[in-house]
Amino acid sequence: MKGGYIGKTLFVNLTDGTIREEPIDPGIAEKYIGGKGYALYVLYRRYLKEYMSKGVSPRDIDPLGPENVLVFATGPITGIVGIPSPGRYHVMALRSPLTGSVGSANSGGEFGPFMKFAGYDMIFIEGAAEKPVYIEIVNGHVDIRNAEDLWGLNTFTTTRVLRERVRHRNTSVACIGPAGENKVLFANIMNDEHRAAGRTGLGAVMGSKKLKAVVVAGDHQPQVANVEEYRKLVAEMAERMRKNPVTGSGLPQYGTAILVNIINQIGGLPYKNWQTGYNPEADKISGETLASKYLIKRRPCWGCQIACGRVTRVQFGPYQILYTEGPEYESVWALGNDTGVMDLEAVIKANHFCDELGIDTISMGSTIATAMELYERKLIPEEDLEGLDLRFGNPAALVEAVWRTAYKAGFGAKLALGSKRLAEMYGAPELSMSVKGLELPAYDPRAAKGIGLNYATANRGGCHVSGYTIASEVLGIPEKTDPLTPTGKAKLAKIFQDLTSVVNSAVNCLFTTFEIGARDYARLFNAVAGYSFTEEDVMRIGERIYNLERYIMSLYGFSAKDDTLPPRLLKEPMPEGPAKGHVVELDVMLKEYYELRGWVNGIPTPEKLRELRIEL
Amino acid sequence: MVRVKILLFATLRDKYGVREIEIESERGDFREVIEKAGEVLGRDFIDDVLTNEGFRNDRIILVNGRHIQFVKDLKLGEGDTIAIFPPLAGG
Repeated sequence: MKGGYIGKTLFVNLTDGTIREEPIDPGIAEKYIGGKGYALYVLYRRYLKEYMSKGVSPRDIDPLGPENVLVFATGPITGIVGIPSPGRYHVMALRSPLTGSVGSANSGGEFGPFMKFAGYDMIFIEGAAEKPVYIEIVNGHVDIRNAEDLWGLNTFTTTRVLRERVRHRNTSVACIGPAGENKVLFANIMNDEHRAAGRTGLGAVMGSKKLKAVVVAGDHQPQVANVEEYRKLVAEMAERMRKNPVTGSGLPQYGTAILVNIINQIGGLPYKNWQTGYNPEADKISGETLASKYLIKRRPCWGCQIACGRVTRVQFGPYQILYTEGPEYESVWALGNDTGVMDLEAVIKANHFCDELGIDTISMGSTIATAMELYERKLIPEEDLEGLDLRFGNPAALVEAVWRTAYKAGFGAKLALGSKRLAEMYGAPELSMSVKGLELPAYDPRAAKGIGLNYATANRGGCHVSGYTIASEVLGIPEKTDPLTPTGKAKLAKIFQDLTSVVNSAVNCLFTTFEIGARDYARLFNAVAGYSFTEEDVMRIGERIYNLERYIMSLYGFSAKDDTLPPRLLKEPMPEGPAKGHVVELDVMLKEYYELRGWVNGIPTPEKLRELRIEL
Repeated sequence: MVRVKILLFATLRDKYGVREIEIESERGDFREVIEKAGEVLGRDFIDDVLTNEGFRNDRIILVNGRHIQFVKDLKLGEGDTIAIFPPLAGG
C-alpha cells in the first residue's frame, strides 16, 4: 500500500483464543476503500460464504451467537493529520440483534485514529469467550485479558480503569456498559467516555461475546503517498471548512441541536411518538437553549476543526450532573420531544445515563415514547409498569426508564427489546415508529418526503445518516429542493446513500460533506493512498458498497416487503403545521428508486452485481 | 393592516437580541415587512434578509413553515409567520 493504510488486519477468535493477522489486500481496498466497505466484503467472502458452504443458512445466524462476527474498521484517511474530521471509525457485524439486518454503526472520539496507531486498520472479532475478557492492542502486541473485575462497571469507569492500566499517551477504549452485558437489543458501544457507535445494538453483540472492551494504543503513523499534493489539499480544505458558515461557525457554536427549531418550524419534529410534527414548546430544548444555559465548552473528535461536541452541566436540582457531554440533536429529540418531556435538564440527565450505561439514545427515547402511547391508550396494564408512570411529558419516568432498561429491571426488561417487539407484545405493532426494527430518527417524512424514501430503503433500517436528504430538502445543501414533493427524491436518496457509503469507508465524518463532495474525496484518496480515482469512480465505489450490503441482506430474507414505513406516516395525514394534510407518497418514490438502483423486488439483480464488479 | 410575526434563530437571535418581533404592515408585502423590521432592529437586518432583487439565498427563510423559494404568493396575511435562520446543519 502506498499510503493511508497501516496495512494490517487483525483477527481475534474469542472461542479458542487465537490471534492472527493478515496484510490489507490492495485489490479489495481499491474496490471498497476500507471501513464499512472493506469490512462488508470480508464479512461476505470469508464468513457468510463459508457458513453457506457448510450448509448453514445465513437466516439461521444468531446475532447473539458466537457465529456472529464484529468488526472495528478504519479507512485510509482515518487518523491522517490535517484531513477534515479524520477521527471516526465504523463498526460492523454480520447481523444486528435489533434488526436481523447487517449491523452498522459509526463513532468519533479518538478510537479510530488510535486503533491505527496501535497497528491495525481492521479488527475482526470471532466466536465468544466463556468468561468476560477485553482485548488489549498496544503497538502491534495483542492480548486477550481477563475482564471479570470490569464486568458490571459502567462505560466511564471501564474507560478510566483501562486507560490507567495501559498508560500510553495515545490510549483509547471502546467498551460496553451494563446494557451491553445484559444484551439490551439496542445497547451501543461507547468509546472515549461519551462517543457512541450507537445504532443497531452492537453493544449487545459485544455482550454476547463476553467482550467488555477493546483497548488500543500506539505510535504507528500512517504514511501519505503524495506528500506535496496532500499538503496542498489539506491547506485548501481547512480553509474551505473554516469559511463554510455551517462547518466554520454554525456547528461549532451551537452543536447539532441547532436543528430542533428549524425542523419544528417546517412541521417535521416528531412529537409524542409521531402523533404530530409541530411542538409549540420545542424552543425549550433547542440548541440555542442548550448553548445559553448548559454549555461549558466544546470537545472535538481527534483532529477535527469543526468541534461540534458539547460539554455541558446541570448545576442544581434533581437532574444535577456536573460534567457530561451532549446531548446531540437526535438525543434531545428522542429523549425530549418524542416523549413530550420539555425539561431539558431531565433530557441531559437521561442522555448522560444512556452514555454511562451504554444505550443508543434514539432507540431508547423512541421505545419509551412507544410505551407512553401504548400506556395512554390503555394497552399496557398498570401492573406491568411496576410503578413507572409512563405518561407523555413525565421527566422523572424518562430518567427512571433508562436505567431500568439497562438492568432489565421491572418493565425495563420489556423496553430492552426495542419498540417493535414491545408494540407487538401489546397488540399494536403500528405504534412502533421503526423500519426493519430500527427506531426512526428525528425527522417526520410527512414534512420532508425524501427522508421517508431513505428511511424505507436504508440498509441498516430506520436511519437518517444513510442518505441524509434533509441536507438538501431543509438546509439547502448543496441546493434547495422542495421538502413537500416526492418528485426527484429517488435520485437524491440514491446519491446521498452512495456518497455516505464512501464516507463510512474512508472513514470520515459525514459533517464534512456540508462542504466537500465526491470530487474532493477522490483527490483525498489519491493524495493519501496513491489511488487515481475520478469523481465517478468514487460514486461507483459507493454504489458498489451499498449494493453488496443489500445483497447480503437478501441472504437474510430482506426484500421489497421490508422497504416500507410505519402506517402512521403512510396513512395518517399530518394533523397540523406547515405539512398539514401530508402523508408520504412512498410507492411512487420507491418505484423510481428501484429503477435507478437496478433492483427487482428490492434486491440487486445478477446483472447489476456484475456491472458493479461485485464478485460473489 | 396585517400583523406578521418574525422569528429569529441561532446567531441572528444573538445578533439582534430578540427571539421574535411583531410587525404591522399596510400591504402585507414581504419586502415591506422586512424593511419595517429593519426600522426596529437596525439596517443590518434588512441586509441580512434581502438583496436588491429579492431575498438572500444563504439564509433559510420560512414563510408559515414553507421555504420562501416554494411560496407562490408572497402576500402575507394576519398572523402569518416569517422564520429566519442563518446557514445551519446537524444530524
